[in-house]
Amino acid sequence: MSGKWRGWVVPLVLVSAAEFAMHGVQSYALAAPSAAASAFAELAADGTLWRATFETLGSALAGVVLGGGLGLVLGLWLGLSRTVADAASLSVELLRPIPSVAMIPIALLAFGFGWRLEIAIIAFACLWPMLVLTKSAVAQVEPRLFEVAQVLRLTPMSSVLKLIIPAALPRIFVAFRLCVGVALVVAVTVEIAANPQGLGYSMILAQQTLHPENLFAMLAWTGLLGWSIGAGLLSLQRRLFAHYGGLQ
Amino acid sequence: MRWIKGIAVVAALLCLWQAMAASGFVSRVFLPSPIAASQALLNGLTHGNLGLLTLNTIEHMTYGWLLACLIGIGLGSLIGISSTLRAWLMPTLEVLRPLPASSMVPVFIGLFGFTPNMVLAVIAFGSLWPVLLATIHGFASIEPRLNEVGRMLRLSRAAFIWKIGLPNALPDALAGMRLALTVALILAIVGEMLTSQQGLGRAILFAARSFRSADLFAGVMLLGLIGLCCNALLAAVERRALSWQNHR
Amino acid sequence: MPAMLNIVQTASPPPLASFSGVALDFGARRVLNRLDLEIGHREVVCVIGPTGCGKTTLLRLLTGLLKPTEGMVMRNGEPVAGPAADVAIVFQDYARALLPWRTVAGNISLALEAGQVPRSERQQRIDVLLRKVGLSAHAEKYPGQLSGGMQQRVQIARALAQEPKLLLMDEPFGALDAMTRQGLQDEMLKLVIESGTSMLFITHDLDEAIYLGDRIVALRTGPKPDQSSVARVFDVNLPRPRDQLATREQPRFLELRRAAFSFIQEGGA
Repeated sequence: MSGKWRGWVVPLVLVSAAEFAMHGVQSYALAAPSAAASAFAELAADGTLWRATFETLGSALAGVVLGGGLGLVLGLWLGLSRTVADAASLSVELLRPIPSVAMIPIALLAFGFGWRLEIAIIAFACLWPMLVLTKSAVAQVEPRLFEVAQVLRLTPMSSVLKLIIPAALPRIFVAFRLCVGVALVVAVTVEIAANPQGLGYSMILAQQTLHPENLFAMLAWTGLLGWSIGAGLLSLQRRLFAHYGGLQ
Repeated sequence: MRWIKGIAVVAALLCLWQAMAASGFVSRVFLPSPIAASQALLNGLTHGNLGLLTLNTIEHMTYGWLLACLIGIGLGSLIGISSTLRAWLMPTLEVLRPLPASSMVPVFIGLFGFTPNMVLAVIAFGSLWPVLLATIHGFASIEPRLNEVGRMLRLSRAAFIWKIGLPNALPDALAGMRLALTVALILAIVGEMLTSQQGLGRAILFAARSFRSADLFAGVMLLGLIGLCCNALLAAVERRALSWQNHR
Repeated sequence: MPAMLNIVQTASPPPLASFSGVALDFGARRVLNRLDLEIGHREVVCVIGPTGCGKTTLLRLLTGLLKPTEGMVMRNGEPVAGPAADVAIVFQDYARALLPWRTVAGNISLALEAGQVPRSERQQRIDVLLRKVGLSAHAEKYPGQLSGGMQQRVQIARALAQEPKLLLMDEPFGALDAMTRQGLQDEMLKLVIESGTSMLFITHDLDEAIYLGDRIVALRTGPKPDQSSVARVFDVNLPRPRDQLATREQPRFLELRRAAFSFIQEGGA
């Protein structure tokens, strides 16, 4: 507890060193932290920052809902039925390794630039981890619960809704957390590689218009966003599933 | 039996794809028939330069990944072995972890321009994190009893790292390396899309721009194949290197 | 002052290990107090006492991994500064103390590597040690493939590979079943006597302490400021070699057992 301050030393030293090194230096590639900070204030004031953030987070969220939702349903199905899992595993193993960014040109042909392109790629990227992790979450449900369902003579539907999903929920939430992280990374990547919107594009634009201070402001903001969303979901997970015990 | 079912489902999916392409329900501009795509694949490999492009992409990916593994395991061992260094550095590393690797692309473009070195730096930087963090974790999780065994046998620090630390971190480090290879492939593709570097990433983007959907799909299939093979290869290495775990 | 003491002690060689006026605090709690104890050459000393009486702490003081709050811990007349090449330890939790990624032979080799034994000699010494602990047939197996008793033999072999003058055993057989335990007790006695090693053996099993030891030291929990941690010392005086059936039926064994048992019943007063 008393050692918490140590974590702040390294970033503070790095930032001060950068400030000192960049002092009075004219660069088109790097910027002083103070310059980035004032650029950040400007970008926030004129709304550029918020629009880009909205575009990136909106696409990420839509992608998680679409891809993660489909992955959840398929994962439950595969987890509950051995036959379905056997039949589908080869297809999943063949499709899953396709790198998400390789789908960019296909989505570009189908949708053109814009929201739909980005959402489609994010959904593709989120589908697989959600599917695989949900399937294994169901597989790891205490077998005794299936016996309980039989003894209680629950219908298949209500045993899934009342026993299986609640039992697998902590692990499914972990998968969801992972998907959100993937979605953010893929969103920024798609914006950098192709799609002219969002935080990724604004970083590329800042670099190409030789405004490194804007670039570093956006970069720090992106990092902060990613970290706080991750940390927020983690603490939510701890709060929600504290009574389950055991799971990290 | 499992395999027959799996193959049957893959065949059914291919038939569905063929039917969709043939019926004109989905425009042929962005959905070629599977037959056309596989013809383009065969043609590209035998008469065209698809094989060479594949090798190019694999080369970019591998160089960046190897660099990341070397730095990640070396640095991870040094940080992981010392609880003091961990206390000073881990908070910073944890905050940087969710930063999308691709968001460093504009920074590296600013520093190196649109050069092969820029792409190498991006790939190495992006795939460094999984290896570095996993190695640190592997070192941090050394059984305290083994620390005592090391001290009782009066092992030197170097001997302790080599004989106890590294083998203990190996399962984590290998898992990190596997993840890093996936990241490296994605960043290699992004790098090729952004710069004039030869490779499949650039080829599929060009195919999309000139509406050659069959060539585009052939390229995507090859990228999926690279992902599949890399994963299988590393999984095999893991099984071999960690054979002692099977007996636990 | 210490120099003069040394001169006096040269008349008779110093004991292998000794505690004089040792006290140790964990935070505000005094675990060991006013502890005086000597371990002679070729002696087997067993330490018994209730949980939390500082048995393991006593043993760790001899490794040098732990420093006393007061008093002196000496080996061969020198204060213990840290782990020594000729002091080996066998932990109770064998599963954690072995390297799961090394084979049985590899685990034994670790001690030889640490002791700078040349590569060319290692294999032969490993073979000898494997034969001593009866694991020759399992040299290439991983610890995870072995039973608890066999894993503990690996740890014993690794400790013997150090060719220790003093062997520290921290409840080594506590997690094993009764049959395995008896077998290992006999093997351990044979190995220790053969090699002329001294042994400090921590246990919570009275019979085990009597069966193995030359002396039994009973510790008390929570010693008062003016009290020593050592509640009583029993001299065993049973003939060697010992035998699981015959020794345990001797009147002296039963007498000791009764004395130690009633001592513990009375709360170690």
